Amino acid sequence: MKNKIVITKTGAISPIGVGVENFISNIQKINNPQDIKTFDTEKYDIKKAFVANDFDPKPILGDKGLRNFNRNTLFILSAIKKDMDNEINYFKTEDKRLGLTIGTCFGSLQSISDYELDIFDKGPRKINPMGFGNTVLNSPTSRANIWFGLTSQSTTVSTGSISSAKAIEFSIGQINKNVVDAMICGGAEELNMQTFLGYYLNKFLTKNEEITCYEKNSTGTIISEGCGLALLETYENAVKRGAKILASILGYGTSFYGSIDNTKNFSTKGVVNSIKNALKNGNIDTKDIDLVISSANGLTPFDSMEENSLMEVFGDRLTEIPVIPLKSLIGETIGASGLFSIVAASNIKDIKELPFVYKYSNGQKKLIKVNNFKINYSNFTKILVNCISECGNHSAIILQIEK
Amino acid sequence: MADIREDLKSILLEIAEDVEPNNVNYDSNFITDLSLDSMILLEFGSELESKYDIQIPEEEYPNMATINQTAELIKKLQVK
Repeated sequence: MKNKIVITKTGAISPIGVGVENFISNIQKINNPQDIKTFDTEKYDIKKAFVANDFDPKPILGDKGLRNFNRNTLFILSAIKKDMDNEINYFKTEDKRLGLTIGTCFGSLQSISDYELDIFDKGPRKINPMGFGNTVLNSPTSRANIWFGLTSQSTTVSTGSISSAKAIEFSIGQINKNVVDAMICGGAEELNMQTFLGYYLNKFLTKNEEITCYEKNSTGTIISEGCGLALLETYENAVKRGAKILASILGYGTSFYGSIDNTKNFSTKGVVNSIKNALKNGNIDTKDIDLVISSANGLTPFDSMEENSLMEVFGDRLTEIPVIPLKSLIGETIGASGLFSIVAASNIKDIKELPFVYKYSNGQKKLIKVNNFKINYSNFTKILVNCISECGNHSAIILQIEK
Repeated sequence: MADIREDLKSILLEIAEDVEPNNVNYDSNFITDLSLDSMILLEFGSELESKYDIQIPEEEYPNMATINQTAELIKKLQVK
């Protein structure tokens, strides 16, 4: 990579914790999905999700000006305000170019649907004109730019479940091209009826209260929501302003392999290529990686594709690398999932113990769940964050954790 | 008339969150006295159309610069 790009701050608004400290604290225990109260699930036999039923932006953002913002926008605004406020003030005071890039898969889907329904139901003359702004995918990002007075680059990336991982790659490019001095890079997804039904009707959702990963008899995933953030800037800039460096990005890689057959095991080609591209990009050997934060979500074909890909890339070395399927702890946050993984990886030193990790068994040739695995998480230095998408997009990011 | 004006004030205050209720009287000019922008006035108009089942022609928007004027306009449009 041209410049050494570092992460100097992270943020999170999640059903399991508001603010990054709470998020990191709460991934260290089993969190149960909640009954969905934000929309009506009466007709369906799945009623639970990792949903932020009690999320209230007003204590964070104040009472005014929020009326026409959708849930995704409120997640982004609250996450930025909660965890990035000082950084925004710094970059503004110093007259530096601070950009904002948000990755989201479904973005404003609820708002688009509601607006369309209103047009049919009430007629075009009686719809709220202020609702129109929410009907474009990039409105949450743009509203955040306006709210915080960020006048530099504003971008929304939407590439399925790897949206926020691609947002990281895009942000690195923009910093390297000197388009911005730093980038608040985020991933955001709101849980709404449309997304829920998409997953429900495809039989992707489990009725169980936990996500079982890397198992042939897994019954599906549990959907989630929220916003994860990372502040990216050059190493030089971070040192110059005396910022605490959490992690540096050693390498990243993406690939697309869209040929899938639902009746067979999915090809490992795309995932393997993205991981190899990341290793090559950072000039890193497989033996250097000591932890994987994976993308498994309880959907067997995709979990199996990832498991086989990790085995193909790392070989026997995989027995030495713990694998953390973060989605089994926080739910499937779709386009935001990559950023939540980056947040967890960047703060790995603050993790004392996770409820479980997965370890590769050479004998069984598979990843096995190990409960209460005793390990010093602060010893991990090079972490592979792997992101896969059901639509064939794959992304891998390698972080060096700063001591 | 008094009732509708109180309703209009309450709708306006719900939409224009930054406006101090004490600063609003029936003759306050939306733009010069309350600093409302065109988007808020558009939303206000849209809300009135739904609530009073009327259609406000575009050319009438300049004639709804105060609560009193808006109340008169609604009365006129309802008669039509």
